Amino acid sequence: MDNNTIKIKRVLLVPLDPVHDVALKILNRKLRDRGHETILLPPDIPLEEIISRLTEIDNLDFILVSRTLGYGVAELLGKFIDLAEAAKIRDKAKIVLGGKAITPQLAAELGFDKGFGAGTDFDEIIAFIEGREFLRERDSLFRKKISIPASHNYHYKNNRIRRLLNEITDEIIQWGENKSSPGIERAKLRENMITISQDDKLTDEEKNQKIKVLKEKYIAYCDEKIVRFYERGLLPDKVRKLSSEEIGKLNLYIQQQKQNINFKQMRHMQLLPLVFVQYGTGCPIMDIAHIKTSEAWGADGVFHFDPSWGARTEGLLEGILSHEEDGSIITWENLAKIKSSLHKETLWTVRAHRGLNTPETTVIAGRLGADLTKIHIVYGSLNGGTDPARLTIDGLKAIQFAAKYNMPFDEPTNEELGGVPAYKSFAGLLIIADLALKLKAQPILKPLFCYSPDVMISGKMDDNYIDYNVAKIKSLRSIIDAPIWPGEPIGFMTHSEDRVQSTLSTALHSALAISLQVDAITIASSDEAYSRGPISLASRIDTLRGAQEVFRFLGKAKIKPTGKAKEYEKEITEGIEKTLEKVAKRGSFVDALYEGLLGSPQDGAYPGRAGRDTVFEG
Amino acid sequence: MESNSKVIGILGTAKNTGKTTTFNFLLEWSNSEKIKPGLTSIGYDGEDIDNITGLPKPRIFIEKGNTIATAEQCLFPLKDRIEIIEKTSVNTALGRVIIGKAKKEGMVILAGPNKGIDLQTIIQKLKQQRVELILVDGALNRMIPLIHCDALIIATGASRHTDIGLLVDEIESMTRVFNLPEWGKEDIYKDEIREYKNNILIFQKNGCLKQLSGHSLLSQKTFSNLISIINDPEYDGVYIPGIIQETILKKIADKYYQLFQGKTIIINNPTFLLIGSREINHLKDLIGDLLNKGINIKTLYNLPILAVTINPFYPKYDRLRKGSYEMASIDRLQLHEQMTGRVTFPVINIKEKESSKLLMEVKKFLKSGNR
Repeated sequence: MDNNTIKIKRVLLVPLDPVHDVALKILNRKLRDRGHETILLPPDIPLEEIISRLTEIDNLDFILVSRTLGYGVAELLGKFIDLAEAAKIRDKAKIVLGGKAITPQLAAELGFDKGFGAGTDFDEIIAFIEGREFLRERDSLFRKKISIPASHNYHYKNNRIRRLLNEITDEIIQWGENKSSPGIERAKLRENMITISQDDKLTDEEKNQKIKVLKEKYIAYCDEKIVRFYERGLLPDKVRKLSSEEIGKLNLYIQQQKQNINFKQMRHMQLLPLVFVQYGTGCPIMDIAHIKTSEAWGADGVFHFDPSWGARTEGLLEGILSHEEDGSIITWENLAKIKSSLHKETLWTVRAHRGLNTPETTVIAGRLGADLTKIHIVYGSLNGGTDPARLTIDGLKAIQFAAKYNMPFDEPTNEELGGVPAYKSFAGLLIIADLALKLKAQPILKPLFCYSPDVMISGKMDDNYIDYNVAKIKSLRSIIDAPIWPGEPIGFMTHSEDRVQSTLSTALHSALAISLQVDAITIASSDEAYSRGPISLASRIDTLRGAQEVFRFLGKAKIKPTGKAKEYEKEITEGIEKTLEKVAKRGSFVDALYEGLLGSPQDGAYPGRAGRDTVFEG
Repeated sequence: MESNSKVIGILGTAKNTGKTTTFNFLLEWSNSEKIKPGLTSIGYDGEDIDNITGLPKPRIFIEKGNTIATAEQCLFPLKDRIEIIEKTSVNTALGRVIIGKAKKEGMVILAGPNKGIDLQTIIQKLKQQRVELILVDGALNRMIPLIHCDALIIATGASRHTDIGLLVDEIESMTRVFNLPEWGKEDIYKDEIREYKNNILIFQKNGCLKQLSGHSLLSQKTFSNLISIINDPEYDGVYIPGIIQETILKKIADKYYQLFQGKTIIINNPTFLLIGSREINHLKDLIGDLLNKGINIKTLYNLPILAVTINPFYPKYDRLRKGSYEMASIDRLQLHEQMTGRVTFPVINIKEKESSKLLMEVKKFLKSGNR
């Protein structure tokens, strides 16, 4: 806000209440800070005396009256407004009513020019007085899509690591030349099918004919489970189509939610970190309810979780489908429906990262206008169950699609959850980030930010959860200026069946994240680890509220780690360098994955088997 | 082209005294008689649940073709049923006031202009729609904007007081104030003093006018100034364009009556006297006292009261369940009997057979000439 352009207003503040005048005192201070002229009357003056005083003050622009409601108070306020009109005060000043139980409807009934009730932001009142639109202001600050990579230049600060990465990623690109896979072929076919279906110059019949030809080719690259669907209309177990009645009701629900939604402000003083939650209940209807709830309670972004079998199956289904178990099935129609429910400023991530449909998912996400995606070759190969060679070629192509559709992508180092030490995971993380930069994509580093098996074993969090998490972020920052979005989700392994404990733990990890000013965080619901089924909305709100509260608590204050953090940071950076040296020396990234240089079976990483021997020249 | 339709306002003494019930009664009647109504409210009416007590309230049901003036936020859910005719520049806490016409029958929420000058604007806009009767629903105990109507109906009841004596005293006092003689055509300065809105005026026998700083008699300071000026045999009367506080009126009656004997105090309109009183029920005695002491009180503007409607029901605060209310009632026969005995206007319980009496009064008023 630019103070120079504000027109100075004369504001009289009237605590009509016998006791409650704190809000007006705060407002008085804030208005004065912005250069307005204010007069704050003492509380508990009789109406007639207030009016008499008001007639003696010239050039008033606003009169702000505060009052808690109680028996007969409506009539008292009605009389105040009548007196003000008869005393010709309304001719010159706008009269505004504030108080916990005040609503715009009540303000209208009482005849006031404006009403502010519980949950009003002081800035909202100031904006009203200054004649500014507050919603625009709030939107721009708190609900505005932010490009996560925009404030980073991807410059390396550690030249030794940069040189090693350069060597490794050159080799990957070279290795990938002239290679393809069923996943890549399907992605290309899907891209063509989408283009045809959106071509206005074609008639429906022409479209169907062209798509039919492509679909036949597509089916040739699919697993039996998917072929059955396309050829005989059979859906996999525990999957069903939503009925047209269900879809009609869903559309109505979306429309109502969009009309009625009010957003809570997530952060207090800072613009970062953005807060993401994941959905993936299996059912698009429940997902949309989670999305709308999360938006309302302040989430900046949501991301789509698919079922684990989706990553191990060649080919994607079609239609609006519901899945009885965790993970919402990736189809164009499911994602399009979900996309239609999003608020325009909500960031949307569709994860593609780890399986046999990585390139095709990236294409669908890109064509639907997703803001972000998720791709990580190393994690997908070592802990996601996909064959390293297959995922390397698919990942390469998916990163190119992400660049084409202008979707930054995050790389989660969830190998750490298997027990792989942070430094090894980070080496893999940086390889993929460097590869992405060469392919003109925008990588986002997503280190684990929780009590991971690695530190359980090594004892690095025996004293506190702060030092090692700080060390991880600082180590990455000492290597490259890239966006960092800890996950996934933060504080995850610290959750228990106790919702209060889980919420508090997520909140405290959020506090550390804001203290470190990372770009974004993903938070789990307070029942995510133990829900034994779809998570509940109440638990979803728990952690959003928890994060909000610590952001308010902390403001711009910082959490101070102990001296250990520096030691750990050094250790991690050295470990990354040593790991990269080994991979570079090996001369083959894919072989390095198979051989455990970026995480071995001893660490808890196992090269995946899905898609083995499916890479072909072409 | 404006119609010369008449405007009836419904003034309440408190919340839940039956304003909207009376409003609905007249609305239903005008629709059945094919008298085209134009509808608005100076508050917020037609919601199903009261904003404060949480008790059910009368909804407002309009017929196809009825014209309404309500805030844009109230119109939003009705946008398929109401054709928007004009977005006026009149602002409220719920957005600008819209003039609209019902394409279909149904419930509406009315939240119209919140001050007199805006009500005047909206009345003009409704008249442009060639409506034949404009009904203005009041709000709570608010009365000042309603002075711009052509006639009023006063709604009172147990929600104001559960003590019937106090209720009757209050209405009798209001009767007294609304029955004050108008500063008529034969009186001097009639047109001149209308121009003065911001100063108290003192007339002198020689035809001169003196101005006093301040438009209202709210403070001792202004009153002392007035006293010092009128301590002059040449002065003839005083016009107060703003509020007169009851305590000051009482001082005149008790202490300074000799200065005012044989003179005239002109008020702007009855509501400006009523609003200056803490307890309206004492006002009848005070006015009686002033008149007895030979002090004339006249009003520059006035408007007829067609009837007083009474509502024996009231929301009773439930002490066991804090913050909630329940419906209760006082003795309706007692209320009716005592009110009729002391009030010169027709006293009507809308829920009883006598409601037809209200229609007679309204018809009589509509037939009468323009003010």
